[in-house]
Amino acid sequence: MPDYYPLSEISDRHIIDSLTADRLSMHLGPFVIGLQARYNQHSIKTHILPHLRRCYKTVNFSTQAGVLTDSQVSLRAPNILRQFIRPQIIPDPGFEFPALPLPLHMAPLALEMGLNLTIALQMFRFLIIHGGVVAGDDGGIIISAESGGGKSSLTAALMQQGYRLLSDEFTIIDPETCELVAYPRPVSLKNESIDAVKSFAGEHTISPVLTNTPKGSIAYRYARPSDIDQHQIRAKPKLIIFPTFKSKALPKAKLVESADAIVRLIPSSTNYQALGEAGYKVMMHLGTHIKAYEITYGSTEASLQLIHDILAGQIE
Amino acid sequence: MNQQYLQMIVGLKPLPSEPAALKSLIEYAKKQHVLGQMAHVWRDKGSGKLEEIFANAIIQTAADHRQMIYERNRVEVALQGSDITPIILKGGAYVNLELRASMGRRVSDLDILVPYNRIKTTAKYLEKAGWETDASVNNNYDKAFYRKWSHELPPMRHKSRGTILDIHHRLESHAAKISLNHEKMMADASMLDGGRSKTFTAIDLFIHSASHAFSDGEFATPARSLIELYYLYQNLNPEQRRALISRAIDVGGLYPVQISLWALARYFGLECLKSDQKVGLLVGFAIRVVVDDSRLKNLGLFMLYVRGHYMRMPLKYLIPHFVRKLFIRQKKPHVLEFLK
Repeated sequence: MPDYYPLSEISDRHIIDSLTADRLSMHLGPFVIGLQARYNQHSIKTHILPHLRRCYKTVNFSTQAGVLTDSQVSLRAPNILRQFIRPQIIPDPGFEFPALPLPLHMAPLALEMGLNLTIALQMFRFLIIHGGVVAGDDGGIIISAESGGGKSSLTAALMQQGYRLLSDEFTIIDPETCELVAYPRPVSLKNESIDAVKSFAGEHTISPVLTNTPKGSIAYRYARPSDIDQHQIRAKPKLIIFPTFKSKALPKAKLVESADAIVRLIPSSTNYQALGEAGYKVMMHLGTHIKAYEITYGSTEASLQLIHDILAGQIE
Repeated sequence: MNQQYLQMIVGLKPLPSEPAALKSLIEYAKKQHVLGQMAHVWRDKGSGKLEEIFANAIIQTAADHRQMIYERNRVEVALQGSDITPIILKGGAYVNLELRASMGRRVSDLDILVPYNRIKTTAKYLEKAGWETDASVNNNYDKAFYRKWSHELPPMRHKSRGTILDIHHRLESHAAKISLNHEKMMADASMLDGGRSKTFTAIDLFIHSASHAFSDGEFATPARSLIELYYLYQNLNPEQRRALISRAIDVGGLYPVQISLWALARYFGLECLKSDQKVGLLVGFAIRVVVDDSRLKNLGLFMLYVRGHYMRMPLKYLIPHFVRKLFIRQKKPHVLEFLK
């Protein structure tokens, strides 16, 4: 087992050196991901390090050579010119992928995208579904929505209610046990949801805002130390939510039939086809054992009330 | 160094015990697209993260294989009612024959060979079943280039599954300096289970793979090519091994087979007759620097790339083609939805 430490115990200098020497590895949940940065010390210190410090403070990292990783994510310029003149950054997960070059100050977005890419497309030991997961004492809630459907705001709101964050971006399921696997990285908030989450979670829980990104404004709601402490604790799935945020909509919840739930979840999976029979079995388990609801709401309070009512058995 | 790596990947040598060496071996295998093959050899011997890395690679290649078997079935169904029995080439053949060479091998495109006079009919049947000329080559220059020089049609992509199918009518271009006698190889091909498509004999699979690696391939992932040859050679029984050279002469593939045997002897310690191994000075140099990952690797790759094309096309056509390809970039596909 390699030696690893919370990032807060590793010096700036050592992190930067390890990033440039391909020795920094993030040990979180079931994955060890190697991180590399092909920039000079100053650029790393200004643009990459602050994001790591803010979002991954208590996450374990190793810095020695020879640590086996599930995959590597490299942050680099798209070409030599863009390393120096109006520098740009792309995440490189080690396979050919058409990534949009971003200005260097958007390094946090590039890093998060790189990690998302590698989880979505290179991890086959788990069924991966695009969707957030939080868990209470009696099981996990899967929140599956299209981009802009209100998944991240709802995840952040449920965190505020005392739920543990397993993951904002990916529902990660062990096909052998059908358990939800934690991967508590920051919750990615876009545009209006940034202020909404700030208002109930507080300014100090959210990263500085990146404006004018290809996805609009982006900020990250940090995973809490308590979420990260429990990163090895899995949860049994208990509820599936398909949320739709519609401004001024009347709150409404509707039970989704098994088959419909399965048919909605399959296209949200990034590796269902690759898993073959194992993926099919997980989907069948979710569809036949876990209740799924479609909820429509116009405010955070309404969404929380709906989930509360569903869990209390007041909605059929 | 890489000689050791190759031998470790196929299980001839134990894995390094020192963590940094093990990690660089894994990185090498990943880069060369042979991690799945390594995983199949070592799947029960690893523990911890190593075991997980192997498990991951095995699941990924199993998916490739299911796809490949399904694609073969789709092609057979598409050609039902025609008189065409396609020959499944390369990776598709290894997977469908369940050869050792296929275990853990990454495969994506299906390659088939049909007689030249049936090529239009084949394309017609396949178009009816949903394949269409891939957008990346669906332009007048590329289409004319394929018609004039190539041994295959422009790649076809299935419109709903997105999978790529290459239809060959011979194994090298008309103008190639080394050209396998595909007619003889087709005549000896044997039927796959189900009786609707065929594959080459074990000897011809080796000869075709050798020719692909050393006369028209680009040798960009040398470990993958060499390991493929290694397993295909292992697949030959002693009698077939003795018959290899005479068959290679018979079908016009002697030189690539000689280079292959030289490379297998050099990198895997394969014992075979010195007289059966032969490699030209420059080619031998290029292969060595590429496989050994030396500082001259890019020069070696360039030499093999140019040579590969030179073997296929007269120089006066080759140079304008290079120039054109250098300046015309392909359009890139869109970023996946979930990354938004």
